[in-house]
Amino acid sequence: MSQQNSSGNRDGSAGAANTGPPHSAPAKPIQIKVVLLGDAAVGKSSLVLRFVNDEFQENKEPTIGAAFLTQKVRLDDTVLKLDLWDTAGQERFHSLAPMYYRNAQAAVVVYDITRAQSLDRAKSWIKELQRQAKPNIVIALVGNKLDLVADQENEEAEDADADADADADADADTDAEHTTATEGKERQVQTSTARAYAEESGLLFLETSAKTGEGVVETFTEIAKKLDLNQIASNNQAARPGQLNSGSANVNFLSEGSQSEQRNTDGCAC
Amino acid sequence: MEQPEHQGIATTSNTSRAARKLSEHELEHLEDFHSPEWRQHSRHFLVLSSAGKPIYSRYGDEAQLSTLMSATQAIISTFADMSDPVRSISIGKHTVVFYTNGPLYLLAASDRGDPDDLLRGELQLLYSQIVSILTAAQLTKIFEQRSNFDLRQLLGGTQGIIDQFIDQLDTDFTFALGSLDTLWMRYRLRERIGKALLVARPKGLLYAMVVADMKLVTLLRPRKHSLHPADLHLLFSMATSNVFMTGEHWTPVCFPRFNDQGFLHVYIKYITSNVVLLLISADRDSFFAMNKYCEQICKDLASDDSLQRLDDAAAQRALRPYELGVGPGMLLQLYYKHKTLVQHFGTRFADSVDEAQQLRIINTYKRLRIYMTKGGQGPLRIVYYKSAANTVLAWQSSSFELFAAFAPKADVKSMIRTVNMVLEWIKSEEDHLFVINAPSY
Ligand SMILES: Nc1nc2c(ncn2[C@@H]2O[C@H](COP(=O)(O)OP(=O)(O)OP(=O)(O)O)[C@@H](O)[C@H]2O)c(=O)[nH]1
Ligand SMILES: [Mg+2]
Repeated sequence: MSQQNSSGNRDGSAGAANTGPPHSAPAKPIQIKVVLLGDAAVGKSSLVLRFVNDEFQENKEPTIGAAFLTQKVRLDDTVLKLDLWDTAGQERFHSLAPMYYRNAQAAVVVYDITRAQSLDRAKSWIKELQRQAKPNIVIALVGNKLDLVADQENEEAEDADADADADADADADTDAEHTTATEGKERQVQTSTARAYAEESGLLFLETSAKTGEGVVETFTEIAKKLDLNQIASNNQAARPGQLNSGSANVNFLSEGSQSEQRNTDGCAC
Repeated sequence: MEQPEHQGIATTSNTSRAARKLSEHELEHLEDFHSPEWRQHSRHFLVLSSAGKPIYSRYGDEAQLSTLMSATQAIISTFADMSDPVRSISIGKHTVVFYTNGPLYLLAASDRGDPDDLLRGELQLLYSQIVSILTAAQLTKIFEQRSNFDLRQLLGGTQGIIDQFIDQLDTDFTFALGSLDTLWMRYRLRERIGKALLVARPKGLLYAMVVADMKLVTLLRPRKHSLHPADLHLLFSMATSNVFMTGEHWTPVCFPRFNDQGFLHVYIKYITSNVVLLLISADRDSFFAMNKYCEQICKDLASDDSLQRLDDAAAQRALRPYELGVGPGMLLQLYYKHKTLVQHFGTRFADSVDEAQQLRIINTYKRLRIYMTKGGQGPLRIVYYKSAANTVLAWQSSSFELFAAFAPKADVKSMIRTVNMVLEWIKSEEDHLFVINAPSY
C-alpha cells in the first residue's frame, strides 16, 4: 500500500504541470547549488535574506551551523531553482564547510568592504574552493556593506560638507550596539584592488549592500549567466539515485506545485 | 504509579503531614528577595579558563566585571591546592558560588539572596550549555594543548544563545524541574501528529520532536533509549532563537548527558510560525534526508487541517489557571510535574500578576523545591510561604510535584481544597496534558 501512496507524487507532478502554461512542456526548473562563504558578520545571511525575502535585519544573529534556503528565479526562458547554503562564518564551523561546497555549482564568497581582514579570509576560502570544490565551480567575490561608505564617497566626490547627520534617518542607532556604529566606517578595501584580484583569479566580482539591496539580485544573475546551464540540466537528470541529494529536486518541485491540489484525506495506509 | 488512590490533604493531614508554613529564615535571605529594589538587583554569570582568561559573562558592566574576574582568579588560585575546592563565599550582599569542571571555572554572583544550591545548579547547566557547543572532548584537548587559549574565539557567535539560556533559567521553572514541558492539546491531534512522524522515517534519524515555545508536542524516539531532559532543554532553548525562524538549519550539537565527547547533528525548521521541528541524526551528511522527511511530514499534516490546528494550539501557549477545573479565583499560577512520565506543564499567570511578581513566584518555587528535596525533612510534603503579594505552595508526593501561587488572602484550607480539585481535573485530563503514547521505533 505504501507503494500506492507514493503514487500520490505522480498526482503532485500533474498538479505542478497544471500550474504552468498548458502543454508547452513546462521546463522543470534547473536546480543549482550555491554556497555562501566568508568571515563572520560580513553579511552572508543578510544577502540571502535580501535575495529570498527582500528583507533586511539591522541586528542579524550569527548563523549556527548552516542555513538552507531556496529561491526560484527566471533567467530568460529558463526557471532556476537556487539551493542556497548560507554557512556560518565562525571559526568552529570551518571544518564543516566542505560538506556544503563539495557539490556546489557556484560559490558566493563575501567580504566586508569596511574590514580589510575579511578580504584575506575571502581569499583563503577561494584558495580552498579552487583546491577542493568542483573544478568548474563559478565563484563570485562579493564586497558587501556598500551602503556604509556610499554616502561618504558621494560626498567626497561632490566635495560636499562633512555633515555626519545627513543620513540620520537611515537607521535606528539605538539598537546598533552589536554592529559597529554607522558613522566612522571607512572603506578598507578599494574596489580596484578587489576587482584586480578577482580578474586575475577568474572570479566574478560585485559590490553589494544587503541593506539597500544594491547588487544583490545582480550577483545571482551574473552567476546564473556564467553557469553552463545545459550541462547542469543534463547532469541533474543523470544523477544516480544513490547520491546525496539526488532525489530531493523532485520532491521540492512536486510538493511546491501540488500544495493546492492535494486534498487527500489522511487515508490509512494499512 | 502504585500510589494509594487518594493523594489529597485528607490523608495527609490525618497523619503528621500537615502543611507547614516556612519562615523567611528557612528560605534564605527572603527579606532581601522581597525588597522593592529587587528588580534592580542583579545576577552575574562568569566563565573563565583555569588560566584566568575571560570566556563569557552575562550582564557585563566592565568595571564590576574586571573586579569580579580578578577576585575570582585570586580566590581560585588561593584555594586551588586544597582538596575541598572553594564553593561559595559572601562578599557584602553578594553570594558568590563557584563551580569548576574540566578546564573551566564558572562563577555566579547574586545580590538578591539566591540560595547556593540554586546558583550551583544553574552553573552546571551553563557548563553543559558550553559543552553542547564544543563537546567536553574538544574543551579538554584545546586547553591541554594551550593552557592560555582564548576560548572566545571558538564560542564566537554564541553569546546570544547563552544569554538567552541564562535569562530563561531565571524566568522559566522548566530547567529546575528537570522534566519536559508539554503543550496542552487534544489527544487526537497529538496522536495525529505522532503518526505523521512515522510516515517516512529516514535512515540515520534518532529523534524527531515537534516543539512549540520549548514545550513538547510529541516525539518519535528509539524504543530502547530516551534522551535526558536536560539535554533536550538545551536544544529547546537554542531553538527559540530568532536565527532559526527562516529557512532550514543544520548544525552539530553535543548532548552532554548522551555523549559529551561528540556531536550529533540537528535539523531545525519552523514548520509554522509557532512550531519547530527538531530532528536529531547521527549522520552529518543526512541533511537532505531530513529535509525530505520534513516536507513529507508537513505535506501529510497539511492534507487535513492538522498543521493549522497544531499552530493554533501552539499559539495558545499554555492554559490559564481558571481552566484547571477550578474557575476564576485565587489560583494565580500552577506547575504540575508527572514524575513517572518526567513531564510537566505550567499554566500562564493570572492577568493580575505583573512581571516582577512572576519572577518572584518562579524564584520562590525554586527555593521551595530545593528546600523540600534537600532531604532531612522526613514526611514533609506540603510547605507554603506567605508574602504580602501572594502565597506559594509546594506539594510533593511519590508520583507528582506541584507548585502553585495564590492570592495573598487565600488560607491554607482553601488552597488545599483548590489543589485537590486541580489534582482531580488533571487525572481526568491527563491524556491531553501529557505526551502519553508517543511513537517509538
Ligand atoms: N550596513 C550594513 N549592514 C549589514 C549589511 N549586511 C549585513 N549587515 C549587518 O552586519 C551584521 C552581520 O550580518 P550577517 O548577515 O549576520 O553576517 P553573516 O556573514 O551571515 O555572519 P555569520 O552568520 O556569523 O557568518 C548584521 O548586524 C547585519 O545587519 C549591509 O549591507 N549593510
Ligand atoms: Mg550568517
